[in-house]
Amino acid sequence: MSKRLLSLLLLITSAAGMAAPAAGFTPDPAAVQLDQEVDYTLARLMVALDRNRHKTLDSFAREAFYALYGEDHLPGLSPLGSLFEWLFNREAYLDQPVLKIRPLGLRYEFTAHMPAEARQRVLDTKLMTLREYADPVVQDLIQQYEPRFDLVSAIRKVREAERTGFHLNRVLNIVPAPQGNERSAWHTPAAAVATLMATDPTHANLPAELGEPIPGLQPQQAQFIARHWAGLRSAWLSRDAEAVQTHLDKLAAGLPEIAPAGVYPSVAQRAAEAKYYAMGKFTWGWVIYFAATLFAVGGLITRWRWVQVVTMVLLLAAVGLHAYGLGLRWYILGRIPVANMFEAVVASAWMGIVAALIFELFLKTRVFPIAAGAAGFCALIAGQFVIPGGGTLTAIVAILDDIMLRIHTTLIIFSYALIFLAAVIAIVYLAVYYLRNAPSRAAEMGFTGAAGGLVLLAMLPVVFTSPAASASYTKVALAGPLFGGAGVLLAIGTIVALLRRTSGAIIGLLTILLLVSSILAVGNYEFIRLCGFVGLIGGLVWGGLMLLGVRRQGAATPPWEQEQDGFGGPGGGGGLLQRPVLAGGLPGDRLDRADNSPLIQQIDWAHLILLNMAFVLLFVGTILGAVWADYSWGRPWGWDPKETFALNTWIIYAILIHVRFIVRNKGLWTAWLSIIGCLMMLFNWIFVNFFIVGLHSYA
Amino acid sequence: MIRFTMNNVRKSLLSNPVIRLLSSVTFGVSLLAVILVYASIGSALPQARGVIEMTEMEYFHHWVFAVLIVLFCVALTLATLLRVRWRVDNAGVLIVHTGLLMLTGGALAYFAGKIEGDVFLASPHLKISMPDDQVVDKVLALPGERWSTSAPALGGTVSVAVTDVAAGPVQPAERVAARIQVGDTTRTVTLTPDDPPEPLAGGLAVAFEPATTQTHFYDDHQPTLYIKRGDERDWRAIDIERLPAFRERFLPDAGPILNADGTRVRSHRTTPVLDLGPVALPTGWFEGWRMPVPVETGELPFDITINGYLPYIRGSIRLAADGAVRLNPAVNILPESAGRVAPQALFAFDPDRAYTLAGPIPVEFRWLEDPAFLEAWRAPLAGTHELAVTTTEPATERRLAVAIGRPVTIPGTDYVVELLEVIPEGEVDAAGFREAITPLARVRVTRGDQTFTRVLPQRFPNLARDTNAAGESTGQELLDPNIELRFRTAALGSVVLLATPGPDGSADLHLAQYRTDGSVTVRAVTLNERIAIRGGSRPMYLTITGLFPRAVEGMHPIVEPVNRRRPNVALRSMSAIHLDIVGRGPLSGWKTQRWLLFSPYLNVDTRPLTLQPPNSDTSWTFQYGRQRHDLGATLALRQLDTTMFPGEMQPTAWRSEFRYRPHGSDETREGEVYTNETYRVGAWTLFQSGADNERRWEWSILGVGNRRGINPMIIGSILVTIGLLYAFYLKPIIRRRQGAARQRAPHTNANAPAATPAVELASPKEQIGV
Repeated sequence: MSKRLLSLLLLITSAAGMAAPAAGFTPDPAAVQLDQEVDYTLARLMVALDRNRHKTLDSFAREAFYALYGEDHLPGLSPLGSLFEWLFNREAYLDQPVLKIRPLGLRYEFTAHMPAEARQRVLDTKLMTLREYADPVVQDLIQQYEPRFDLVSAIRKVREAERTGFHLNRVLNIVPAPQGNERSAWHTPAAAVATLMATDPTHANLPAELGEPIPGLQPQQAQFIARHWAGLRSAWLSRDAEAVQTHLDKLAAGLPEIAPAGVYPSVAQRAAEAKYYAMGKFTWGWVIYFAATLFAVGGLITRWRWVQVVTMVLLLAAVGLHAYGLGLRWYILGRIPVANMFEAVVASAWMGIVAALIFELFLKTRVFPIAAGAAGFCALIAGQFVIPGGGTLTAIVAILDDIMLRIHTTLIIFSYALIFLAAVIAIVYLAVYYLRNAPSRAAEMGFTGAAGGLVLLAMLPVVFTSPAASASYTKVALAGPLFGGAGVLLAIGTIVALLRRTSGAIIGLLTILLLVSSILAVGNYEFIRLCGFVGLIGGLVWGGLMLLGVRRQGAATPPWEQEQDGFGGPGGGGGLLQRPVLAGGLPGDRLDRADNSPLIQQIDWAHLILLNMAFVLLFVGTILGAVWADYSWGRPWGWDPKETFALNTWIIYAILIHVRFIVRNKGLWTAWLSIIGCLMMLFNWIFVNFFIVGLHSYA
Repeated sequence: MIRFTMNNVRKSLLSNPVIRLLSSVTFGVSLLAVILVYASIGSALPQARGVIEMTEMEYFHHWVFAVLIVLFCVALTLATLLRVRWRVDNAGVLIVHTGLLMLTGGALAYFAGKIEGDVFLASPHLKISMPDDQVVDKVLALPGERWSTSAPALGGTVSVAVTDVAAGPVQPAERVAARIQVGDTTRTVTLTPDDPPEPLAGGLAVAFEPATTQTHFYDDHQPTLYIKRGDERDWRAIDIERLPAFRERFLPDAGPILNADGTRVRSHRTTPVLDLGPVALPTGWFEGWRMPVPVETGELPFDITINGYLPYIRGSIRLAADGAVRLNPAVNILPESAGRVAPQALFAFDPDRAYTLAGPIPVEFRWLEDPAFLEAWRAPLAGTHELAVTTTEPATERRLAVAIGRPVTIPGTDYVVELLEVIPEGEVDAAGFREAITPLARVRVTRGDQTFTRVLPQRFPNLARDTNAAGESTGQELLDPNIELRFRTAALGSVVLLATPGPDGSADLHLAQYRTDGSVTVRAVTLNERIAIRGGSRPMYLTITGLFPRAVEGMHPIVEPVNRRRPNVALRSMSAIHLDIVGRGPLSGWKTQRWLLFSPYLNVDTRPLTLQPPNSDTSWTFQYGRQRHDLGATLALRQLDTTMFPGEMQPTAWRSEFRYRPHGSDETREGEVYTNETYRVGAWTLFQSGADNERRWEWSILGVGNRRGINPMIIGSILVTIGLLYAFYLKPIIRRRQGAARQRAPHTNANAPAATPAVELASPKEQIGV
């Protein structure tokens, strides 16, 4: 069907000739003017039934244009302005770059036949015109790639963009079923026209594109919808703001009347949804968290009280906003928002931040705010820019709608948040530790990491002909086994070097080569590029920071390393949180107290408080997941990748606990293992969910 | 005198270096690290498990993992007994360790006896069908369910409504009362499974199909070969041990195997050896598969070996296989051109299947009763196109090189022949030859005033047809029987495979290759020899993969390319195995090799293979599937109910209502499983596993599993949780109180508790590693 429509489009547009595509999308100025003149207050609260959910027309428009263009509206137009312009005047934009091809590999494939200039434009902007997309070459490639399971996700994104680009009028189900219930299918305005025509004996055959008549829709209701929809279209095309306003308001008032009682979502719920989207799902709160993190670091270094106060104010503001966003989402969906990746990340960060603020309130360590700020910043920036779907409100399948699962998920994500907070504190610990004790070695470590990142980036053109998604795109046919084999050999070499207590430089070199070869063995262009940049920039930042330590070796003790009073001394203070007893004894016990500064001991202590809670929550959460699996799938444990890596994460923390018995430098080992545990948790959360097929793939 | 105290026992045990090692924290941590690495590799790298042919369950059932877990339990026990002081403030760690031991022990028991599988259930329904048994629709056998259609040609509305249902002992519907309406006429009928279809109108009929009752379920992991003789009712079930799971592994006898894109599939390793170039490491101690896989056939009159396994096939093509009683020569060929392979079978006695133009050069297969006939094929053609002319009056016999549009006078006669046209893929219009393809020549024949056109099929000279000057065909009657023409062409080059009888019922094979100039070479060929065929428009290779004097049609699988395989299909559900069957005893001398496709259930959607050994009047049926387990009850689906998302485009939840009767019981019970709710039938837990999503809601698949060892796991988990909370949050309070008490006592260091390790180690050596 879609191919036929695309061909039809080609036929229609070929008559108009090929206009040169503009560099960026430019809407009709008259449409922009009209859009600004129309008041969408009522219209945005109209409801569409789309993707198993009743949503506001505003949400529908935002989600549709996010899929098409990568933003929730077209440039210069509001979301609803974009929707109506696209519904009624799409032919005017056939040569505008608007259809976003997100997967890099497909961008290369889809543009291989295009002139160099046009190709470069698409590669740079990721946007194709509808005409370019409808090209038979591109359509053939999509047909060819669609059955490939390694490209399922990439092709799905393209199809979603196509859905808005070409079939928006077919999926705009805004007419409720007059005789239905809350699960009944809704209909397009065109179906109302079909209903009207079906009652007219002069129309023997209904045009297929109108769809089936709507069962139970009264002729006067059909007439009402048809009149105002046609009027809206006509007014929109003639840029008559007043008429547009009239028809829109009529429809917004009339459509809910058609639905049986209780089916059309309440005004309050719709208003909440509109507000939630209008506020960008509150993910922009990352800005405040970022500022708070900077102030928190400043507070730790300077120990100025006003900086600490500003940090706490910023954090409280951010966490309040964060809570408001989450609460709104909870209200709209009618369930706790922990069911998909966006919700889990945002909710877990909030829980972790609240916990960190409570700890800081009691313990005044000045490291919890750093962790809290970093967690909020990372979670919300991921929610806004990284997580697929960008936090779209979605319906969940019934199997996930279970109280035990909610508790399991909540506990698990809370533990994940604590693990992340702990890892941030571990990084702070390592920075302080190495700055104080071994800045030169740490600088070497950083620069070696940067060199590793550079090698990865340099290897890209060596092993890849292009990032295209075609069947085999590595230059070296045996690149995977070659690098994998090298990785195995290097791993063996590293272990041998560790056992033989070879010099740190050799172990470091072997480790970095092991990482480089392992990453190259994955064979994914974008993954290698990402790792390369992370390694390069992270290594340089770390190395540069450590160089500061080298410079100030021998200088007077800075204020941030002087005696800390956060925990009030070993015997003082009150509350359970004051005595973390995470295995191996209290930080700064008789074996490393002498070696480390009070600040380092204090950070270690704060670290242990988080690890304590994370360890318990992770265990309980995992067990509750098994309980749920037992009564849902008939088995508590099936060695599904998600289950296995949940266990692996817990094992790392079990190792961490026991390592503190047997090593001298407990804080340092704890910090490194905490970071490894966090990486394992992230692997489990992100990689296993999205890249390894298992029972949790839907997450 | 030695005083017997716990400390003395500890000291004595710790003096043993093995116990000291096993109980050390260093050893425990190292063991945890090894378990972590083992689990990570098996879970994160499914490809690695693919290489060693292990499912997740098998990987974590492996004896290596079991040894690691047992060692962990031993280390944990020893460390708990010998390294931790048994005091109130250490109760946390003691409880945690005890809980972990219970959890691990329960898990070992759980996984050691774990069986998982599923059972397929279809609900009772009325089937509306056409006269050719094509199903129009189905109606669930539930009161109130209705089917109707508006068909003016049939007299108006035709409808079937279920009005009443009578249940049987287990069957939710044994007899159905239905009201049938055709136009204005309404009648009520009672339908049972034994009744013939009840006519509705216009050839439509309705019949009752009861629910499928099941007494067994099918294991997810254990492959099984089912065999039965003739019309026997019961199957012999033979478990197939050590069958691969994920990779194509086949011996040359099972090949060649092709991908759906026409490329050859290479077999992965067929012996568990890791080839590292100069060194080959045997890995059978770790890897659980083998090839070939022997099948224990016991008292059956044949041995079976599985010498090929394909994990994911898209479909199959029909190729020749041994097994016919009468002579029916066939070859399996593999023409390759431009990287594409098009396997097919040529049957010498089947006009439409003895010749192919799948590649650039046509290939024909012929059976020569006598090897002496080969000589005739060594003669080259007279030219690119050859016309063999025989006339009765005057008696002449000539072989002439002809070219299109060039008339030739036949020496010694007054005939002039002119080749008008050559059709490489001509079709013959004669009974029994409808699908047959052959090169055709259209030749104009002139003798004096008489001119006609004769169509000459190269492969079937007896089917020549004449057309007179007016363009009228004369049918089988030739206009001039005095002249006989035979046409042969080598315009595209051609290959003729010539089979001759060999010793002991075997056959020999020769290949005659004609080049475009008409020259020919004849040579003997061997099976699986890749022969370069030159002379056509493109180079071509030909491999003869099988020669069968007594052939039948057999199924040959086509493999799905890796990147098109659905990643989450049930284990082996798309697989096929290659059986090598060798008769013994009464079937001695019988030998055949066949592919057999996977059938998920014994009685639903089956793909059996039936063979009739020569000189035997008994057939044998084979089916490859999953191990069967007794459910302990007879089970039948009453209804599958679904809940839809808003918009009714997609189901969100399923509920299966069923009836069952435990074996040996007269009591019929009802049960239901649905999303997030299981049901126990005897020792088995049932849960919703799959469902008909085609909006008919006809069938449901219930997962079935056992849950041995669950209780120790639950208790262990609770203990661990309590222990952790105690150790992390209660112990500090106890310590603080102890510290405060010491502070109140004279000559005590108030800070002492804070400096004491949270878990005190019995041996100070543990502090620096043992």
